[in-house]
Amino acid sequence: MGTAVGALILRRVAVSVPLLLLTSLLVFVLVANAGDPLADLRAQPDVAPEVIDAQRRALHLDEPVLARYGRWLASAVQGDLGTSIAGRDVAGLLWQRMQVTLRMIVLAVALAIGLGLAFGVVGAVRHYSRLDHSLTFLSYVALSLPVFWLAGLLKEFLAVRLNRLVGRQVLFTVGDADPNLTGPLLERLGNYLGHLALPTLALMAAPIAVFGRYVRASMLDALSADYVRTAEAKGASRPRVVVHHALRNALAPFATLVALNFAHLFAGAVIVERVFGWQGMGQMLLDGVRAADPNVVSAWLLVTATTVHLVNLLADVAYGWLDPRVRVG
Amino acid sequence: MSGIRSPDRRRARAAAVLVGVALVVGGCRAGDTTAPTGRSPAPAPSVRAGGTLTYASGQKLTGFNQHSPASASAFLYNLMTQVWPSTFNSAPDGQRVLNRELLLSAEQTSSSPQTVVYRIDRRAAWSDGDPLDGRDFVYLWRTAYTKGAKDIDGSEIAATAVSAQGVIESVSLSDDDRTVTVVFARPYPDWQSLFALLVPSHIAERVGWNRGFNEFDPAVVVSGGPFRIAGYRPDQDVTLVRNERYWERPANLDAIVIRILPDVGQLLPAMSNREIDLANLTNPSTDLVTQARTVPGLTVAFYELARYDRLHFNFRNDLLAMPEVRRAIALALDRPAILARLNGQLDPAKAKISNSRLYSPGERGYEDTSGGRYDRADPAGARRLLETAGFVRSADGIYARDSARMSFRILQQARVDELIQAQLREVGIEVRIQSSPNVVDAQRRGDFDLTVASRPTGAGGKAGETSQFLTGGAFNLGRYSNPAVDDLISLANSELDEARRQSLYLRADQVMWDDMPTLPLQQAIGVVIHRDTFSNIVPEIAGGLFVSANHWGLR
Repeated sequence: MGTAVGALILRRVAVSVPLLLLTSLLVFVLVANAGDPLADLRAQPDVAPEVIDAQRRALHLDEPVLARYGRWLASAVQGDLGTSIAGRDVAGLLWQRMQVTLRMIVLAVALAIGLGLAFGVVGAVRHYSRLDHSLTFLSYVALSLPVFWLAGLLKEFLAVRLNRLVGRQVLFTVGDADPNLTGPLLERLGNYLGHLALPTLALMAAPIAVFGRYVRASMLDALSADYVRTAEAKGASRPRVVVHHALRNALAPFATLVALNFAHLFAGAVIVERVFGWQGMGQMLLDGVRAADPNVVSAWLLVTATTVHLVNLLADVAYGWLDPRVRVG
Repeated sequence: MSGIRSPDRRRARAAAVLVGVALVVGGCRAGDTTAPTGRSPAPAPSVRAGGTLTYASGQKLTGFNQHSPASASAFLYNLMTQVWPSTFNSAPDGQRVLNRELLLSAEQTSSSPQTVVYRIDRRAAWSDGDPLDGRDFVYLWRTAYTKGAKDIDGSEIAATAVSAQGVIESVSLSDDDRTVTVVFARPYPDWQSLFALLVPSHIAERVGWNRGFNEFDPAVVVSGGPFRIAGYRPDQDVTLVRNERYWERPANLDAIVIRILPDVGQLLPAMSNREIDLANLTNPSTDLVTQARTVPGLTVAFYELARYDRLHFNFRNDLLAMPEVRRAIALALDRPAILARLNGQLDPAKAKISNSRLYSPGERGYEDTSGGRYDRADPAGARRLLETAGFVRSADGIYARDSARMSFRILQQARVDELIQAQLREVGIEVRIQSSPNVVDAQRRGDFDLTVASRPTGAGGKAGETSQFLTGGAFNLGRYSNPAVDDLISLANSELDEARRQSLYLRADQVMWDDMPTLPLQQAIGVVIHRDTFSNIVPEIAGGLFVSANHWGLR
């Protein structure tokens, strides 16, 4: 198995690296031609042309785009992602923003997996019951609601009203934590959770529905399969049949589904961060595009694309682990 | 807020930066040194001491040195008015008033050569205990106001106040560095705009001008104002706390937290949820204002800005280079109807047509220089002008002459482009709407025939803003040029007598009504939204809010 997994990883890397290079080149060229990074500086009435020229040279904007890309790539492979138009270290900025975004995404993925599995299994085991119909209805509602709209509803109808009801700030609508947060650990933790709750809820609503529907369908197939009937006939308990026999088989393709949705979550995070005023990677991307800053956007792409590739790779490996037929194949 | 912005963010953000920079470079009437108010011109109804106010800003900080082009922004200017002191501050009407908390006096003692003597309060000190004195004036002169000045690492100093560079001949100190005598190299009517946001020289000389204030370090960004910066999370928030070492009346509030909200859509839910207490929108949308009025516990107050929207004609277009065509377009446009559809929907009482290019309605010195010629639309007059110039209407109703068809591009801008298109179509002028990913950039490059742009009129100091009408001047978007206007404006910019100066500006404006390089449309209005629990929040005509922040307080 080790050799097969190793070969799989090598094949994936061999495909991913050129793909990443090509994508980064494309994005760099597009962003570099998207506007004037010094537009704000030029818009100031009292800035001398020499100052603008000096800034152009300092940012290498006077060089051809391909030369700038080459310079960026040479530095990037050595771990130096350059500086932004505003003069900030991009690697440091990226690390700072990644911590913010991953906090939201990791929690959203974990909850979506747990709840999606639970809803899917319950829906399959008690299919066509009132509970199953309710879960199905809620899933379609969650899938139909655009993230930004759901986020707005959560702010207006959950945060504001709940806070009024309890007479204190429990849920927050802006930022990932209060500024100058001090006090006992529990209080700080409560503040972080109060800021995290609504964005996570907005972000995980659709994945829960997708996962739940998928698991329900897979479980229904599995529960009607011969080997499940055989297990039941041999006297295996209902929970053992559901969890050990049916769910395990349903889980293998589910791993791929989670990996694919991981990329969607990054896209959703861009919107959620915007709506909740989080300064994460999504906001970093928007700022980079708005400032026509190829260093920032390319670094963003490098990290998100690599992360998505890694998650997909992990999903393939997990698929093999969960389904012996794939290993043999 | 120096920042929350409505749609077309880039344009609005640039405009906000300009407002801020205009404040920095803006000046005032010569000799207005005896104004009774000090740092904060606002009257102070009774408020309680203490409390924290959270302010929303749509802009981010890129450093703390407002004099550096890499950091300068309207947001930073606003913030620093409470941290780095200025010799003169802006009153709500935009005029400059002596900062009596810093200076005992500032008098122009001679006009030839122009000489100004500043006397600094002996109690003035930076928050780290170092005296705030004439050395800080000398430092600003040698860095911001001197062309080709060098930083501590030998690099050239980058400063925003280019128009002030070279105007000072010498700065000398006496009376234990508490008296500063400034001798000017040439007449400089906007002298009250100088020495705004004094930089702590004892620190700047150590850390450097260009890079020393890029990051936040409480030991570097020290305060000489009512508040000091106590915390900063990049792109997220800035915290100001009361400067306990301030020698004058302490600020009412314990702290002001400024939170960055890049999306204006976040504002009202955050205010409803009591996470934000105050916002200042210099380009408000009707929807947002309408919604704000429905939120209980919020006060929504409009104010006039010293800025106006105007239609620019691009002289690179052969047809628009003809004065008859520009005047015909001006006659064809129904400005009252445009006003009603734009600011009239925000606040009919504050919505005004601007009939001056150099002053805004509500600004001291404003005078209608148009002679009433364009007060209402005159389609028949517009057609007459075109036909006299040899244009004839073609089969599709559009005027043409030889092979030149009266068809222009207008940069796409929400709400106004379609109105202009429809009104000009009525008289036989075709307008095509031209989309652009970056309107400000397209305007700067001259990639338009017609465009609506907004610029401040430089309340409290005109010189910096008049260049837009000078040949080859900054922001002369349409490449307008008239030597007579150049002469009148240049004369005004070096005239120390305020009445004569104003008269020269008005004469230049009258000439421009004949030339029609731009058609003024409406005065811009801003809106302050704050929670009812706070009081003493007084915006100024140039768009700033923080200059009176030491008076803000809980009711």
